[in-house]
Amino acid sequence: MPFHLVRRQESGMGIRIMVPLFSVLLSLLAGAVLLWLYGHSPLIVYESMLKSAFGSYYGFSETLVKAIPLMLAALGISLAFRMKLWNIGAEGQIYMGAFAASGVALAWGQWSAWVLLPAMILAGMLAGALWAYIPGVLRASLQVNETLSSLLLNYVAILWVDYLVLGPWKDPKGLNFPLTPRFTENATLPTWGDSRVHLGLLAALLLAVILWVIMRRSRWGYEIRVIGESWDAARYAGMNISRNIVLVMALSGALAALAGVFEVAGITHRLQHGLSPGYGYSAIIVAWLGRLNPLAIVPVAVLFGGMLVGGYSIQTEGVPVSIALILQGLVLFFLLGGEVFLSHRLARNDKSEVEG
Amino acid sequence: MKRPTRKNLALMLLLVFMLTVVAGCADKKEESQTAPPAAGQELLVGFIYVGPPGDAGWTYAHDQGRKYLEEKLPYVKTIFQESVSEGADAERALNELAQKGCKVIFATSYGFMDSVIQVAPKYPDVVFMHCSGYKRDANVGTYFGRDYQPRYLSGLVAGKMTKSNEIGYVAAYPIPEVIRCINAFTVGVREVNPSATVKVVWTNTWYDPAKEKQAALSLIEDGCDLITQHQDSYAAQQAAEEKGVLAIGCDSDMHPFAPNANLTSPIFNWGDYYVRTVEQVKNGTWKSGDYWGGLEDGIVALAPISDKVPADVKQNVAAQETGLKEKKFDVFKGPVKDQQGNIKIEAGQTMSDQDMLALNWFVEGVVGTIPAQ
Amino acid sequence: MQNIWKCFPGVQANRGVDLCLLPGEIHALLGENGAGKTTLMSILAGMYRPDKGKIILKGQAVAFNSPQDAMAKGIGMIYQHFMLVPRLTVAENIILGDKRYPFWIRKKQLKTEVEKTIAHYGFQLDPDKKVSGLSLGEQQRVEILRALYRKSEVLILDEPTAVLTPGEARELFTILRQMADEGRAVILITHKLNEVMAVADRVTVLRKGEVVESLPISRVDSRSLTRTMIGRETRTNYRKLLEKDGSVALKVEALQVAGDRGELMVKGINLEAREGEMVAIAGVAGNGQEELLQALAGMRRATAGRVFLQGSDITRLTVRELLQRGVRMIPEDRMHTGLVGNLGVAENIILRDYQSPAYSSKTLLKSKHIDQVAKSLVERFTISTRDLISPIRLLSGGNLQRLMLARELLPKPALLLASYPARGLDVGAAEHVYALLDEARSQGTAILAVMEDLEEILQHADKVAVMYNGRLSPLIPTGEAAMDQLGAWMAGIDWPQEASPAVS
Repeated sequence: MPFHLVRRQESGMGIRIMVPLFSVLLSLLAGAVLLWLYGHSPLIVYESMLKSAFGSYYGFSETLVKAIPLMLAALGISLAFRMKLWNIGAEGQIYMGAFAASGVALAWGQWSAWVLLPAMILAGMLAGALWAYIPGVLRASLQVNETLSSLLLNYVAILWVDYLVLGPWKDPKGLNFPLTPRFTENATLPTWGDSRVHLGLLAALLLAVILWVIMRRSRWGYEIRVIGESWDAARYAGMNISRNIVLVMALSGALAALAGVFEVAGITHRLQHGLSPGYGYSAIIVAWLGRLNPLAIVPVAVLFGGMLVGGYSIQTEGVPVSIALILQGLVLFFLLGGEVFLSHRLARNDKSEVEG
Repeated sequence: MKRPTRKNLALMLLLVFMLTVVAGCADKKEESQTAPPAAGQELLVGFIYVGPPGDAGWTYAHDQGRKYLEEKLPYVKTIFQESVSEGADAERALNELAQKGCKVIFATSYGFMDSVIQVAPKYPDVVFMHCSGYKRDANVGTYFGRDYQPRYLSGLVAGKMTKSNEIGYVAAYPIPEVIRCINAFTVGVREVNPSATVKVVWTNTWYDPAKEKQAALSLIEDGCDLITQHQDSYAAQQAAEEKGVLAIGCDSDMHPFAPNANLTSPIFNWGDYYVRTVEQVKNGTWKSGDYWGGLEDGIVALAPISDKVPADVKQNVAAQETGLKEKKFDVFKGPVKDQQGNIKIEAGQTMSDQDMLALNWFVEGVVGTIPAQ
Repeated sequence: MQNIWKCFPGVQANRGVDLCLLPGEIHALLGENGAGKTTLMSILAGMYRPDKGKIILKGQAVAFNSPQDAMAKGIGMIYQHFMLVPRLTVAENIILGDKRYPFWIRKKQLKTEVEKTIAHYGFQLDPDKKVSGLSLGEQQRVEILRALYRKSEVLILDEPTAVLTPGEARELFTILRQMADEGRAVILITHKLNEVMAVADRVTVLRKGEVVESLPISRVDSRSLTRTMIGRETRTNYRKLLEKDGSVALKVEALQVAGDRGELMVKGINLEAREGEMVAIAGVAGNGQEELLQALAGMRRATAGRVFLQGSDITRLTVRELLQRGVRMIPEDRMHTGLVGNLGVAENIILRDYQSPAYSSKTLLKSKHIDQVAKSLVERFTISTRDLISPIRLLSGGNLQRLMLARELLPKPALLLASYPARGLDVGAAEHVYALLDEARSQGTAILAVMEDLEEILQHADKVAVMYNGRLSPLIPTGEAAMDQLGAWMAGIDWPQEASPAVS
């Protein structure tokens, strides 16, 4: 190899903007080659992608619709990741949140929206918190690896929801199709105009700001950051690590669960199989690309949402869905691959430097 | 001095690239903005598929219909979205097709029903056609084929071809549409082989090749020597092919994917119906309603029967097919008993369309349960 | 090596260094921390690439792209942190990464080959033993063996005696001498003058990235070396003894503490420290000193025994409760325990007291006030930092230690626990640290310090005890302590029959 990597001592603001930008451009170039090989015009496809995700009122509204659950789950994930708690269980927490909110909506659908919606949110967050509390407690008390336990709980949560919609909660009028009955009007979130953008967006934005303040300015956020950097230092500072592990995991789960609550209350208006197309996993990437910074997660989630919507819509240009998925994969691949250049730079293996 | 210049060069290239993209976008924008009004003759028709058109089954059949439509009506241009999940995404897809200017949108899966009903009022000028559902609106129609008819015919083949007298049925969801087909098939089987039974396994998915194949393998393991399915992929057919047992496909002719195992497939021919519907919309004669065509319309049929099947069986199938086409009899003609042996349809009676659309019990000979409602 | 230049962002680590190595010599590379010793040697060993300059080996210019390159040319480096795989045996570690070996290894043949080398140098090593079961001195020998095994002509050792007992160090020097006698060139990176004088043939002193002196050992003495190393005279003794004995500040009775794996690391210790007194605990690392200090600081539970601070029982108190009573601590591990490398100066200043009303309300941090405190401490303790928020991991060891001291000494401590307070610091920085400790002591703080360098102990502490295998020797006033006896105790030799209660 004529090049080798050299560690950067510091990465300035310019680098942190240029590297991802360059990564995206490279992925677009790679995607262009692919599209061209498949006989599509890259420019037309990209234009259509861009336009359908950001270029029209409706497209942008759909982008936001996708961004809301990504944002909330990524906020939860970022909180746990800050403490180096690898909560991979956001997907399951989303389902548990959706489950609990649906339970409230189905049982007390006649309550006024002012009572019902907060009750759904509370129940959902509680369920998500409990779901994340399990790996949290296991980690804090028995050193059980939370990556695995939280991941495995995802399957339990998804299958639990499947069981409910196929069995006890199935819509009696649904002719056996795996759906719960539709929620009452009182259990649905208000939306913006005729779009599907619901109140969850405001909640997500507000939470991003609150979380940022907590992390940057609060005593508790300081504890989280110190624990995330070094357990030894935290112990030395007299911090209660176990309690914070449990607390942070629970709050992380509650935030992710909120994504599930808003999906059922704002979008599907019922509990159903396949509620989340992997939001909980995509949110990990969103949180990571947002550098675990709550305020950065907001735009990253919107861009990610745009990528999803743009990816779907280029099908109408005749691009098969699998190619669209490859394009999305390329963007992520290049973005994550480019991460190395944030901490390293490329240098030439120039022998003359040594010899001359 | 080397590095800075190289960096500048890279930056310049980048800039040029970005400018090209922007310029390209700008150009196209003008074109696409002026295009639709100019092409006033053109009629845009949208399709939403639950799976990929390459599934060689349900979605493939609809996609064949779409291509047929484009071929027959030169003024029609079609666009589609594939693999749209039956939840929140369906609404997005419907909205998008409507906003792209589609005048007719075919939503081709049962689970799109509520999304169609939700979106349709926003686009009163667009005709929404929902396949296999029962909810309608001023601009929402429903359509389907009487697929239980060819299912019954395929049962006549299966009953004669099974040796173990155990037939496996890989089924998607326990909804009336699927139950109806299982019953029709079983009626056909028992008509020619009263001691045969049909074992049903639910997968709770329309399209999941891995899961479908797994279900088929477990049925074969269980002693079934003939596998049929109500799924969108041909995975169950392949399982049968691998294990050396027989199979009957569905929705499209699945023979090419399991040339040894596959005997025949009950299939859909949506093309003619799509052409008729679009013509009605174009002429302004379209009205909301329900269409449920049978063998006589050609919307459903039985694919060519394999040479493995004896000639007398083929003759019997042909005879029954003619009978059904000429409406000399029905598939569900009394006496029909349920699994417990209770008479559900008295001798001389037939089942009404209404009952068929809400079917929630298995006929005698089916082994399996329908989850409680 | 000719005209070597190496620059890291913000630091010119090497500026035009020339270094000449002869076969058969032990060459000491002396310099303060940050003088560029390790950087220079890492260039020679292929870890870094020089920005400028060249390396000439046996008359030929060479360029290394990796440590493997350098290794192939016969240059081997042994770092402070050993690069061994604990779960493999000695023999397996020795051939690890050696490309001459095929994928499948004949164990028997390998063993005899390794045994031959071991016998040649008279090492006491079992090639079949797992590295995890070896002492640090033995592990170091495995590293040396590995370098020899690859036919290294040039052997670089980075501060090799830091982890060794005086006895082990002596053994190491014998081995180094033997290797030099066989025609190899040995480079010893160190900042310990006595080692240089004891073993080196020639010494090169680096200061701020430049060579200030390169002379045969016969032409230098420790005093002149110190001067060239830090560029000025040092004060030799600044200890002000208190006129009167203070009252007992810390009293430890039969204390037992378990280690991380549950094994007993502190096996019943009695100890006293008075106000205004500095008590040093000498010993080779890993004999329970760390556990003792952690237990006293509340970071580890005592399994038995009692601890008193100014007469009141503090055995079961938490870190936070101890902090409120003025028990402060300077841990051994600056970067991961005492400080948080990715946080800034200000956020490290509040690490231990972030809950105090001065730094935070019930929920929010008082950033403005914190910054003010940090700014004043930075000035008072001459901590050179760019600002208060950039990560402190880029600061030098001396700055980090001062930062930690600034924080721990801010509210006057009743008891200061210090673990290797001057470890890894250059002479100037170490001097500053001891001056600060001295100041605290003169204000009545009792100091309990775990240290390793006997010379430093005798110079700075009032009393000393040796810790070995979880037990503590009698406490001896430093004025009456003999270096030889302390050294023997550190190695567990002539251990006093009864670990009698500490004398005060």
